[in-house]
Amino acid sequence: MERAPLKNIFASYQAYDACFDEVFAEDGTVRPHYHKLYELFSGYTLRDFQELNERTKLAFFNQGITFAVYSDEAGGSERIFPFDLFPRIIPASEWSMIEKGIIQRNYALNLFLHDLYHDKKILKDKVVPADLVFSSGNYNKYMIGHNPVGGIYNHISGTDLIRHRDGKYYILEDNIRCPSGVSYILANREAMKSGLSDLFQESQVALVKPYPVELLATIQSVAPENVDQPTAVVLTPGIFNSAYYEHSFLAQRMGIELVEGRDLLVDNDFVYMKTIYGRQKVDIIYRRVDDEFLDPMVYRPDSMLGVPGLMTAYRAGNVTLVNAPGTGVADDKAVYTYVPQIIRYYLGEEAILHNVPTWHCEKPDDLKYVLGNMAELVLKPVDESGGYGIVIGPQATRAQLDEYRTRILANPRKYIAQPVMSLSTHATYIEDEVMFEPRHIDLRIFSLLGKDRHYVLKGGLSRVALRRGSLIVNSSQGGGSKDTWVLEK
Amino acid sequence: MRYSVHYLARNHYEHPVQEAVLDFLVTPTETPGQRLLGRQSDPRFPGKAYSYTNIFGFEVIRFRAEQPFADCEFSFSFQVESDVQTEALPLAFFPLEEELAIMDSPEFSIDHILFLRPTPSSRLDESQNFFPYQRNISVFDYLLSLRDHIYEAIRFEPGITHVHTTAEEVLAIRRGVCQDFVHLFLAIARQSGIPCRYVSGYLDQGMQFQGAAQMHAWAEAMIPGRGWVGFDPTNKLLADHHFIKVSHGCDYQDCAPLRGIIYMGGGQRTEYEVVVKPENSLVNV
Amino acid sequence: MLARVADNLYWMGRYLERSEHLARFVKIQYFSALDAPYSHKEEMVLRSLLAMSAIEAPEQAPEEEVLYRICLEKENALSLCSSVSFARTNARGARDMISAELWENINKFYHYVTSFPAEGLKSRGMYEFLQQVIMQTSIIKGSIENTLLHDEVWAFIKFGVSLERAFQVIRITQTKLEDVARIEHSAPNSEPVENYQISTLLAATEGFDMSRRYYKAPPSRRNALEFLSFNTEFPRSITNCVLHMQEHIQRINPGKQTGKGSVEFMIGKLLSHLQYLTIEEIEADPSAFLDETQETLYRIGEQMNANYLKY
Repeated sequence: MERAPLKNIFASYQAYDACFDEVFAEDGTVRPHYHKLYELFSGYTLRDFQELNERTKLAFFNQGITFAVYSDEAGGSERIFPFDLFPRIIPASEWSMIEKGIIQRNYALNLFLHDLYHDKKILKDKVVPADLVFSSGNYNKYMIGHNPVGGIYNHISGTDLIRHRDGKYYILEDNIRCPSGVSYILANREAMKSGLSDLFQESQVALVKPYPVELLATIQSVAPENVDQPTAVVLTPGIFNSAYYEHSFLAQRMGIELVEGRDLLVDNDFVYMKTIYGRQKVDIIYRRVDDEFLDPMVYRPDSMLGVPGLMTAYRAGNVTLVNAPGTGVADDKAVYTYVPQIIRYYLGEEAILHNVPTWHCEKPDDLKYVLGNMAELVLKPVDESGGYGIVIGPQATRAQLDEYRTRILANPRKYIAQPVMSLSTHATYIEDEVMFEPRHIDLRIFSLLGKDRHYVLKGGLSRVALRRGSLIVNSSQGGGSKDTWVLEK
Repeated sequence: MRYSVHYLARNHYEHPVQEAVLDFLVTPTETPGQRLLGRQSDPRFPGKAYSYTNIFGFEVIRFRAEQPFADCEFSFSFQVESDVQTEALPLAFFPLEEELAIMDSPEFSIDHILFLRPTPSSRLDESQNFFPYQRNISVFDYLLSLRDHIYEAIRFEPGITHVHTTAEEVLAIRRGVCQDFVHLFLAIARQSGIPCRYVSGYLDQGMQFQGAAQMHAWAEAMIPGRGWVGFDPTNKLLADHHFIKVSHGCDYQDCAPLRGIIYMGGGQRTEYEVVVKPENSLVNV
Repeated sequence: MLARVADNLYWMGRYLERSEHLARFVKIQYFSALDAPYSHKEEMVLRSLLAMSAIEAPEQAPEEEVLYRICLEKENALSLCSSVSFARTNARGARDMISAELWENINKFYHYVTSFPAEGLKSRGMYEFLQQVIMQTSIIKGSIENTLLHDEVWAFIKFGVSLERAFQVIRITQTKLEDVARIEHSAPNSEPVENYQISTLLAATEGFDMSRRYYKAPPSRRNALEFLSFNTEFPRSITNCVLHMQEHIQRINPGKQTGKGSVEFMIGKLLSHLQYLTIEEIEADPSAFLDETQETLYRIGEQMNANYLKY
């Protein structure tokens, strides 16, 4: 295998230690699935890239593919979500495993949700601790006993994965409330096609374009019964929401109305939208408004984003909400650690995609391991969210670890431990440095679950932590994104 | 015992209300000991009414405005019959060990989880729990004592607390009305693992009970192996045929008689009226 | 279509039109005054700009400040900058209804205006700025015509444009008539000054060339008033605007439920009135005619809101 030539644009590329680099193997050679791309890129100069980069940025800005930054005054300033021109490539063999794993996970989590809102068998069988579920604050009593159409709760999932230094993919988080970011996948692909059209001629990259069509078919598959030609809408919090671009984009691509809460009303348990010619019945709502803002009659009474009476219309079966309310109970950080057990319980299968390994201190063997390896582990309380009470072993002092040991011993049930995971890196064009450097990336995959159908978008949002060494890929904190190519073979 | 129950709410708004959705949870429910014999309503409101069943299975009457309005009035009458008896209750339903075994089973706590978790109104720090269950007497006997302790500890006094007052605050000021007594009762019983729910309803006004002038609140607790039994900590009573149940829920928020979303500016004035008469006195009206 | 979206489209049209007229009026007033044949020009021009834009400024405020307030002040809802910003906010609320081209042009326009530096407004920069605003609104209108289906989406935008244009023409005419009155008051019988102001009026409504062609005579007060009020073929006359409003409302409401008190009825009534009115009838007191027409248009706007846009 050829050595990376020193005189091209990757000349000074220096991979991070102890991380998996997606493009370059440890010996500095280029991984096989990047060969074609690498050859093409080697023909470019940095100057070419700089120009392309500027052009792409301007295109995004003019198209309004931006997100609002809340810290600024109302209405806020708008920023583009930085986009990197070097695509991330996933070979067909790796992808087929990811796809199977995602589908398996979606089905299992859906059965889990149904069980939690009906018989609660998994809790009674003590596979998942009941306290863990009920203390999360995400268990939604308005969903108890309700049967969503087709039995589907998590119609749309945005699953976050990372690749660890062992080269394996790990699930980091299941987002099954209102996951966002899919519009960037489509916009990134458009930008890539216009910016680097010659690349596509050479590679067999799976299309991302079918997503809106699949999404519409999915939500239509769960229309209320006895509705012939269901009317579906996208419900947005409004133009000041940071993801408004995505809401309008999806509505437009699906050819359905984009509505705000004030455009809807509920009468006699049916939902209507207010049109220029009067009321029109709405059957399916793809809502991008969080649970607690959906209906001021039952959730937050101060919500101006919701529709009074929506939940009773929903419970009466006259309208479908996508995703169902109350899904947050299953993508909770504490519940996450039990997903392998959840898959085994409902499907009788082993999880195809790895969870980050978790030791539950309530189990004696796990406890022993944790106490013996505290300095290498991340230690967390199970029921706290938002990063409270987390200790990162390698960064903690002796005294902190000793204090934590006391806490764990006092109440082992309350604690779990995980290894320190490392995100893989990918060559990324860094504007300020005018060169390619490694940056940490993760991968968000979008998948759909409908009545008798499922779909995984062949592609994904590879989010990049643009600050050197940083692990934070969030757009609000200096994250960017890459087009993600899934190879067809 | 037969009753005639009358509920009235009258609202006046400073500026006309453009949009409104109002829910009334005031209809007496049907239980093994309680029957709804008749009902009449006379709303003065520019909009239609329809009813739905809430998540706990109780009828809610919903009104939505179709035109702007500044005044509205809702009047409901019900005829109810109750023969709920408390004398028939044995002091203990099961031997103590059996009660405790039922209570400790995962099915018991998981099936009643909604009535075991604290809510914002019925939250109480464990250190504040002045009367935890010691598991040495029957659940029923413990709840009787808990009821009496709360009755002694809190003074009935309207106007001090509001619908969002928490159990913790009630314990600090030691005064309040029926829903405060109940929230405290719920907080303590639930901490002991006894499923317990908030009940809203009407009280016989001929009996000099506290809290009879408006809608009343009491608690129902799940006695292992027996079922739900009503405790009234405000009056130091068990709920019998003088108590006309409307609904139950996790706390007051699930049982508020009137709940609504109103788009308006300016102030408002609301009056409520509750009249509960034993049927034999109807001839005098 | 959602009533709120119709409202967004209608107001997008109105704010775009408002921006264009404000920019052109400022440009014409300011730059043509540089060689105008009368004294106290600067004071006069500033007063006229403030009157037309309905923006307030302290007495004796320096020119720079007045221009800043009218063009760029973000905090003032009546400024050009706010107008463009509202146009874009409304376009965003109807983003899924309009073409990518139209949206991108509005978005670019918004970024141009809101990021224009205050220091850049002086001298040459101001001309550039106003010229750009006029050009970009013209490009945007091109996208409205050429990239949208001419269905009710288009009709709501166009209705807003036509109604706003009628308001702006009335407003500009009133402002210029006041200027003329003021000059006559300070220097009676100064015909060249009056002619100069009438030329400015026609230029500010883009009617200078066409009125000359139509009348084959130099502009006069009478001709200008007639041209801007009643000419059915000139796209910036009041009557032409109302004609278009009628055309657009018919596209919105093909069912023609046009009973008494409906917006369709009110437009029809105003149009008949205008079509049979003559310059002789309004010449003596044009201001009364303009006020009355403006009032009717306000009521049509309110009725439009009640019939179609309320949500």
